[in-house]
Amino acid sequence: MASLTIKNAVKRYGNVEVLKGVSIDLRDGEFLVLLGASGCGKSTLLNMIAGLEDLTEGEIMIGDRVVNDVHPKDRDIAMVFQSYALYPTMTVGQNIAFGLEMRGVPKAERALRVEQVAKTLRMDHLLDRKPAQLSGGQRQRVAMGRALVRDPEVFLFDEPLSNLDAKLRLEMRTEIKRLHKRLNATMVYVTHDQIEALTLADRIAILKDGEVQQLASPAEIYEHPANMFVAGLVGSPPMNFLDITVEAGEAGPAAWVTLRADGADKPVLLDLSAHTARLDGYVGRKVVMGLRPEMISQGTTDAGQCVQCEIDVTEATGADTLCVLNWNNQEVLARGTSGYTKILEGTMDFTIETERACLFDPESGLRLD
Amino acid sequence: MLTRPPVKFIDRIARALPQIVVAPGFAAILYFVYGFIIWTGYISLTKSKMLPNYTLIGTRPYERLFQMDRWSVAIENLFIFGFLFVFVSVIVGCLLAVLLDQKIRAEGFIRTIYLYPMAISFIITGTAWKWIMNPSLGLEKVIRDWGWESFRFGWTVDNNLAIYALVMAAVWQASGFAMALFLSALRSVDQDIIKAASLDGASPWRIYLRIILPSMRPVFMSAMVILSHLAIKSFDLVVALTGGGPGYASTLPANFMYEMTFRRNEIAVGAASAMVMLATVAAIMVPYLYSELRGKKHV
Amino acid sequence: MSDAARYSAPRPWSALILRVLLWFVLIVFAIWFLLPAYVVVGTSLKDLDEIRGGSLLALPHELNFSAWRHAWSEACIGVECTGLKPYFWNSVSMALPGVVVSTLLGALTGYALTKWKFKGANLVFALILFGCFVPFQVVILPMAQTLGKIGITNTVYGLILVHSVYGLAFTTLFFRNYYVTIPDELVRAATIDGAGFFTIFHRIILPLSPPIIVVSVIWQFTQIWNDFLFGASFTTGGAQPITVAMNNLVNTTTGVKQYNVDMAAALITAAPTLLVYIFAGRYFVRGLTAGSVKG
Repeated sequence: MASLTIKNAVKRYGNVEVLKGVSIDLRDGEFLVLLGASGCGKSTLLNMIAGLEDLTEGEIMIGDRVVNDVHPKDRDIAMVFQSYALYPTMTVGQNIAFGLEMRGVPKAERALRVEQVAKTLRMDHLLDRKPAQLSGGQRQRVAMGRALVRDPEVFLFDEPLSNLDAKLRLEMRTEIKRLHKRLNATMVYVTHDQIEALTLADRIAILKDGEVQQLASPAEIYEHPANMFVAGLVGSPPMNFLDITVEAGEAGPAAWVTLRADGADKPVLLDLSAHTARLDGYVGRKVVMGLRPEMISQGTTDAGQCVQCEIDVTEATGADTLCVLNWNNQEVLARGTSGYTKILEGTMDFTIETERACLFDPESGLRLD
Repeated sequence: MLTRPPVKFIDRIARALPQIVVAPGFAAILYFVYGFIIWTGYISLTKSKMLPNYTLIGTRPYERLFQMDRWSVAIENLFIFGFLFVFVSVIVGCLLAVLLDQKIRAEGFIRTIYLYPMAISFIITGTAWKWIMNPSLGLEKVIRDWGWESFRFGWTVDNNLAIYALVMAAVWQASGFAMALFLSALRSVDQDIIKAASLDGASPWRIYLRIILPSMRPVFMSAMVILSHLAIKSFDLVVALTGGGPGYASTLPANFMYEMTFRRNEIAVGAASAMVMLATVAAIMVPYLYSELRGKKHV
Repeated sequence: MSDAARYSAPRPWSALILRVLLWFVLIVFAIWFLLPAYVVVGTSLKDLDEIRGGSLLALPHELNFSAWRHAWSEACIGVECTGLKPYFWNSVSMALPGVVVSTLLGALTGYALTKWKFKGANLVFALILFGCFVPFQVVILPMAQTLGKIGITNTVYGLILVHSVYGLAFTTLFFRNYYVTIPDELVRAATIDGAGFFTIFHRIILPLSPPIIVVSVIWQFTQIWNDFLFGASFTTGGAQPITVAMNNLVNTTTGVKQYNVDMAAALITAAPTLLVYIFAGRYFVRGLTAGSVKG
């Protein structure tokens, strides 16, 4: 096990800067998820940790060893690929043992370790098969086994679940989580799936255009996104963004929002006085208010401000029923009820938790605190 | 302070291995293809006769070349031969491919028959057709014996027909190849489009003419490019079938070059004719290869 | 099978007529393609009287293999009356090393160019690719000079060199196009597993290559065996490959024209590549169209 330090990593292809100085510190045993859309540089960063690509500038350290010029095979890392990259002409057993063989581990010991890993991953009955004879989930397991058997200091995962169907993806996600708990190994995991990121990570690094937007725990990222990009990327269904103008209310800052109720537009003053952000300087200026759907819930509670809204469309997902509302001529997603129990239509009461809302500067996109 | 471990020497070698491995092959191509092209280009500007002579005399060999009747005949023949050969091979290949696509029983067997000429040397093809076109003992005699007294098939010895004998044999050899190209393209046409068209009520004829064949444009392009470059390179077939004759009536540029270089001690003129051939091939191939390579990058 | 045919449902009568017409055209073409083969085999089995007296298309009266024997071991080529036998072995000893060298080099080059992309790899490939299409007339003169300087003019070694070099462009193209379909991740995984350039080639890439090796071998063998230009330009007399010797045999003007021997010689010359085509031809098509990794 080892820590992993990335210092000001830069990658340039000609004039194109793919990574613009990324610094991340991982302690021993931490699970880091690199989250971002395709082309954000997350896979490049992972490949640089693996040694499959060179750094243009910066340093990567595993433990207390700078590995910039160390060959991948000497970095003591293992990697699981999106396509699994199983060697098609070798059996499962040979696939798993290949890394050990390359390192000159004696045959008897190889067999022993392959067997152990196969047992852990419950695939000892598959060892003599060829990859082509396996299902997607089984191939995924073999890919994991190939990494596990080497007992490396750092595990790297490159979107390992994105080729699986939804149900298997859920299963394997749990499996990886369990594995991390048991091995307590340092892991770096690349994905574009924010749910995977939230469920797996100790910390998430969100990348966009080669820059880290936020590096924090899942809870922190969900509750206090650093900017509008992070807020929009994480969370499903996504956060609603409303353009509002801050005004000086009686008890403190407030903002007018036009809601639709009973077929007519109705202005409502949202009280922002209890919000932690210092808004004094923003009076009279536009800001963006980010409300997650669960911050607008059907019914009246003491948790926030109660308003009447007209429901445009409802979308039942089974566990929750979502309501599409119309505010400021803009669609807003709200959480209706749990389950299918109630019929939601017409004009109903909704509670808005304005205190939990995120406020962003419209120009910089940064969150205001 | 932490220190970076030095890059291991063996790792440095390992990093350069791909280049090291490509180097011998690439060097060979550079020397034996591009180096030789330059050499031939240089020689084509000298007064070389029987042996290479490195005294430059400018474009005089080219001027001589284009004044030679034998060369004009060769060029004219190349146009006739190239055009007919490519055109007929593509038509026949395309026709056979469409016909074979009609769920034919024994398709594999028939395909084997159509394709086997590709495995044979042009020398064999030429020899075989020369025998068939033998005026006194060949097919001409057979048909005349059957009663068609005026039938003529002795094309190889006829000044005006020898070039068509070449076309006939070359088409025989290459149309199966064109068929194979088209057949595999037919099989890879998006089946959903065909389903949609037939649901729209299009007849099979219309589907072929309006949808399938137009979608095969790239394959037509490839077939034509490959066949025309074969036409320009044609040499052995002429040697075996007509010997370039009668006289030099059916000579092609490749044969002209060989004749000048190895038989007539006109090395500079031979080199000049080779350079003209190269330029012709390049004019066809370079734009094609360029678009092919560029196109693939986007996939 | 394309669906275009499947969705047609014309009336039974016209369908039948169309079907008959279709078969008629297919058979006419089949006859056209088979005619030379039939004539060559038929003629080679007749004796000269039968050829002169009978019809070109008539079946031979009896199976008479003497023309074959004559072409193989007695016929005169130039002044030597050895038959095609020594030239056949010339071609064999030229084709086998030529095939092996160009296939091996092509495989390695294709592998390095696709799986270890270095700066300029694409340019290198483009330059090699154009080598496929260069008319050989432009290289024979300097090649003759070079072979002379190395001292291997008029030897099998010279031809091996020539065919290895000019075959390399094609084999590289084959292997390169095949190897681009192998996922790069395989190579990365193996790199992390600790395998180097050659180990990956030998353990991962080569085991995936049989289909394209078959393509390369068949192609190169056919090209080298069937070559005439290089053979005619760089060899004379006893060092000639079989195609050149066969052409000389046929065009020998001394004595009585022995059409049956000519045809038998053509048949012997064509036999190796024809056999390869008949027995391995389908692997050639399959290999050209096959992807590398299934699933």
